Amino acid sequence: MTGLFEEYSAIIPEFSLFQESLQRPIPTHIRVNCLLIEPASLIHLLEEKGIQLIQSFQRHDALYLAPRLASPGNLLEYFLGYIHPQALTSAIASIALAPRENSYLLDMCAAPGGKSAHCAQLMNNTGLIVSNDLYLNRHISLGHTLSRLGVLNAMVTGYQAQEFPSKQRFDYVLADVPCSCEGNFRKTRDTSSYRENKGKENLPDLQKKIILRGFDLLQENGQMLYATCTYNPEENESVVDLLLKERDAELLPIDAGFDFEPGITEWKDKKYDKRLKNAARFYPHRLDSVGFFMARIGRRR
Amino acid sequence: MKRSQHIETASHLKVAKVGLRAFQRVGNFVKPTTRFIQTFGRFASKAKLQINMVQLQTLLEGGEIPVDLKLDNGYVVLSTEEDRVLGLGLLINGKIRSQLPRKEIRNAMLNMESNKTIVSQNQNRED
Repeated sequence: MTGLFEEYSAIIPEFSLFQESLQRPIPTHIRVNCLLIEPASLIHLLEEKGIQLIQSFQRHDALYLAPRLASPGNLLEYFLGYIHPQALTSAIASIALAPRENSYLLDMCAAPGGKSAHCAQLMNNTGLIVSNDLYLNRHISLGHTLSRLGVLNAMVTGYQAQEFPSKQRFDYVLADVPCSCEGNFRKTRDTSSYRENKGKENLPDLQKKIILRGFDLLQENGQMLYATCTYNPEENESVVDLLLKERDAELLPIDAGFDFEPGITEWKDKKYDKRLKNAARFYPHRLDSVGFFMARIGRRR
Repeated sequence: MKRSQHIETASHLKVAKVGLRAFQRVGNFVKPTTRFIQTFGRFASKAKLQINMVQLQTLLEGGEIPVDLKLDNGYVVLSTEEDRVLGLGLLINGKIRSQLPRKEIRNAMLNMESNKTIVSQNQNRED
């Protein structure tokens, strides 16, 4: 394979392995919804159907690889709200944020709701989650996900993320922002193609507005997670770099028990804040899932 | 959702949906939602019925299943043989009708449940 994401060859380690990994389909991962069922019971139920689950990480008993399960949405357990098909790296975002019980959390771009529901699970359905998404048509999938998974502690709002009312102060803010979604791409068919950044030139501007507003909405001791599913530094390190320049922000280490590459501090002719090494880049040849970027942010003390 | 400082703070927001919808009005009646029952139905102490996959299929096809329950007419919590709460049925004169959301229970789900029986039979043979 040639040409695909070539511009990142200098920043993605073992680039040929990375390109090879893009030719394999994204494996099916599921998250057990511990609000409604214990992982051991779910594993037993699926084993009875001949479905094998492999725990993805020792430290997290809710995340599983389902190697031969093509359509988890066709399981009765999906209807029952026991499972949620979710990219492994998406699930890692909520784990990296690690919201405590009884806290107040804002999910700025929440639809279709997988991360909000995961946060509700981590918070054991306590506290309050504001699941925000601008687009009313996306509220349908958002509301459906939250109710199917038995989430009791969430409310749905429809503000523009970058203009979310600034009088609120949250313990946690999750900003999984609109992005070019490069990390989702796999060339599994001859017809698969990726139109690099076509029509997506304005994304960094929007992302910068969102990260600034998200940070301003934090409590004094609050924490924010900025995440994208793209490799593009313009949408990742460049955005966080702006935050570090314009606000008293600090990058907190991410220790969730997963392998990742540190954020980069140089891209083309640009230099970024050295603290960006604390950010995390997930690549499919290292962790076989959607490519992802995340930065955990707090206020500087 | 319990009254809390968070709720008071969030009450200033323009809200589209809060929490889990528990009931909806159907004509002159109030019906618990499927998701509410799936979340809290396990706490029901009466008006419960376990059904097998054949009975579930019958209900989903619009049929009725005769039951011998000493209950007044009304809603019944339906669960699988493994005691997994599916949602509601409606008991009328000794027969249960489905109140389950047919669109959300795909045929593929029922086929997978049938596979379970085959897998189980194969495992028994291996044993």
